[in-house]
Amino acid sequence: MSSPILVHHGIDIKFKRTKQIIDKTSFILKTSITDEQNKIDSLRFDLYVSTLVGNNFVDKISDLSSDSEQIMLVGCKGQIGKFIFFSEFFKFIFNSFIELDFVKVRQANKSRPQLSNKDITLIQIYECDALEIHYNTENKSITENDLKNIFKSVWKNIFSYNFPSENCAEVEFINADGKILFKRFFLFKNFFLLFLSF
Amino acid sequence: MLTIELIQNKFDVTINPIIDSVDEHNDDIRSNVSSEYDSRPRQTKIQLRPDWAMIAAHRKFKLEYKEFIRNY
Repeated sequence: MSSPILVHHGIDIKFKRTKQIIDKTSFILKTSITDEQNKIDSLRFDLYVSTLVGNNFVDKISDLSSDSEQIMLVGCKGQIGKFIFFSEFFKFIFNSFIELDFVKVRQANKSRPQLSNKDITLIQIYECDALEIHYNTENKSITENDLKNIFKSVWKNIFSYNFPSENCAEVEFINADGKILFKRFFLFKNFFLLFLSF
Repeated sequence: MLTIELIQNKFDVTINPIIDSVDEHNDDIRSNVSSEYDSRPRQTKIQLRPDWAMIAAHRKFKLEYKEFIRNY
């Protein structure tokens, strides 16, 4: 199939692969939290991440912590070791096409598994194709029309959505051009790439 | 232009990615599978049974349906 959307009598029939793809540019670092005080501060975390993947390759670190665990989503620009000869400009352009060398990252994590006397677990993840969304105003419910309004420009790429509770919605994308969609949302620095992809 | 930050500010919402971890035990097997993925376009014939549409779209049965396709 060349397109994930088939139009049948004016209705979009959307297809999505059932096998998930491993994300080659992001991963998660996780550690437990016993109380607020023993949370590792973000500066130390940033430093730790640079020891794993190298300073120039970290793109964005997002905090996804829960009450019991400190969870950091690390988004990378590129691979350690390879492509080092590229100029900054080329790195900028090829950012999304360079994959992370996970064997090396794992080795680095094994050789230095602790930070502030806490074990740091490295977790590989699948490419993200779904989002959770809620209003910042407490107890404000979110509706189908709100979603249509918020995701207007990418509505066609939405595969499904549902409402686990009145105040929160989950939106899943087709993920046909998963990486680009992902980049589009989370690493929106690559303007060039976006121009290329539209 | 659309960014997560822009949306969050404009609509006063918080957006979080929903992330699946790779099962550590199956790690290597799965990476192989994903790297062998062949993206060449192919002829695909799709027959839609109208009575399946409801199941495929149902928020609860959709998951079971997906599971079914996967194991089929």
